[in-house]
Amino acid sequence: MSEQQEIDRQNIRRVAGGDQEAFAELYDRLSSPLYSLAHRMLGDAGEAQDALQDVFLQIWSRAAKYDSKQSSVFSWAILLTRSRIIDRLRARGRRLRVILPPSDRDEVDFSIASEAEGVADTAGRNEEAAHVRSILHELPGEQREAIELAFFGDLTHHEISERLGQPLGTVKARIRRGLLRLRDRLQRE
Amino acid sequence: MIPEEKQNQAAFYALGLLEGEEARALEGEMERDEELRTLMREFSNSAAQLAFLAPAESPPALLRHRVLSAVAEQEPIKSRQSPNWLPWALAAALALTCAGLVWREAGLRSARDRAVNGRAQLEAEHGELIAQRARLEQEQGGSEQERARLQGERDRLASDRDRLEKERESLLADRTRLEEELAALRTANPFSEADLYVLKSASLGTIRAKAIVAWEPSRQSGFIRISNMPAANRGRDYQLWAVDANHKDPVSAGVLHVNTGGAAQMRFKLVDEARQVKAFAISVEREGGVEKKQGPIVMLGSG
Repeated sequence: MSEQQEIDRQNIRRVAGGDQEAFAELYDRLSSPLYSLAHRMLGDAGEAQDALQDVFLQIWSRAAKYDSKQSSVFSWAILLTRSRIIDRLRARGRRLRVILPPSDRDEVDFSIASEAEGVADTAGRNEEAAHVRSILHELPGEQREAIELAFFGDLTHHEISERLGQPLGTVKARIRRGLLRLRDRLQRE
Repeated sequence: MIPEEKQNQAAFYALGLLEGEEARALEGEMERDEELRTLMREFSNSAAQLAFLAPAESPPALLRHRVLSAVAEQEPIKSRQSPNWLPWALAAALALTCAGLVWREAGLRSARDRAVNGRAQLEAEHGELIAQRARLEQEQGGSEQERARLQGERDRLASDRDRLEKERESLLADRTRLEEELAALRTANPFSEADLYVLKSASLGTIRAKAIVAWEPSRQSGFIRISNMPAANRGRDYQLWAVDANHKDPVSAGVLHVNTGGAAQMRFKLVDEARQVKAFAISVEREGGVEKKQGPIVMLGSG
């Protein structure tokens, strides 16, 4: 467990006890990646802010349910945010705005996008985010593409298969291999 | 070693792509398989790192204030850890519960006593109601008898009324009949109170002639009807006379005018009061009559 993860765990325990100061520290630690995720999936800054507020209120009320054996605080918060965003998307009958239609998909240059994000991270203050992002960019393109569609897209595996134009078995294998590689890279760090 | 297909499912599950029965089945397996559970945790943590693929952005500073204010306004979260005073609080709660139970038992006893008393009172009221009902039924029976009696009386009165009505109608009919009979009698004998005098012919020439005189002394008036009387000779008239014991000469009752059929009738009064009339007589006098009888008597009759 990293030092940051231990700090996160202590903070979440304090939050579970009603410590608003610890909650503020947790907000400062998590708000940027959670907001980035919300904005990316919802495609709207206002909705992303509303979603982020909902997520942090849930963190406040459900902090006592956090189980450190299951996941890190960061992972718990990310997955909680993603779940809330998917609920919003499904409730509004919308799909991910940033996912391009199939006809435009082939024109996306993930490497260029990754380089731009890398520049932003370099200029940014979150070194951990930049490091993780660099690891993600090390993944083979087809694996990262499949994982990214699955994570941000709120798509079924059949829809992902259609979008990628690949058999479902191939898609499953790409996602599994991508996650395993990511796990291995993160565990080595 | 976890099969690849199972790893695929775990990867899908970590990304939220597994739903329904498939997801529940995998959750069941994870409960039993620690290796699978560990893989799932690693996949979830790895998937969470994918969030860094989103362009790095920071939320507006105002949102921080909004979120922290919203949390501050909420009711303070009670710690999930048991505080030191918890046993004492539990003991106090237990004591309060016991006291409450004792108090409730007393209340229940009191309520039971009230219920018993209330039941006895209700039973007494029930008995009273039954007696009252019997009384009412008896009164109702008496009322029915009285009503039947009154009904019989009414029927009897109605029958009497009908009978009396019939009798009245019968009496009215009798009265009408009697009045009619009386009228008929009066018509037939208008001088029922009068003295009747049948005059007979005093000569051969008037043998078929008939005359009857009804005389009422009280009224000093009379009525004469003549039939089959031959017409009087020219310049002559028949004249009626009353023979009274108090008068030396007959008292004139007037001149009779016989029609062509030989009949004549008239009401008459005497020229002088006669209280003891013995007979009536018709004589032939000069036309227009005379005050004192002069001509021959052709018909004569006594009462």
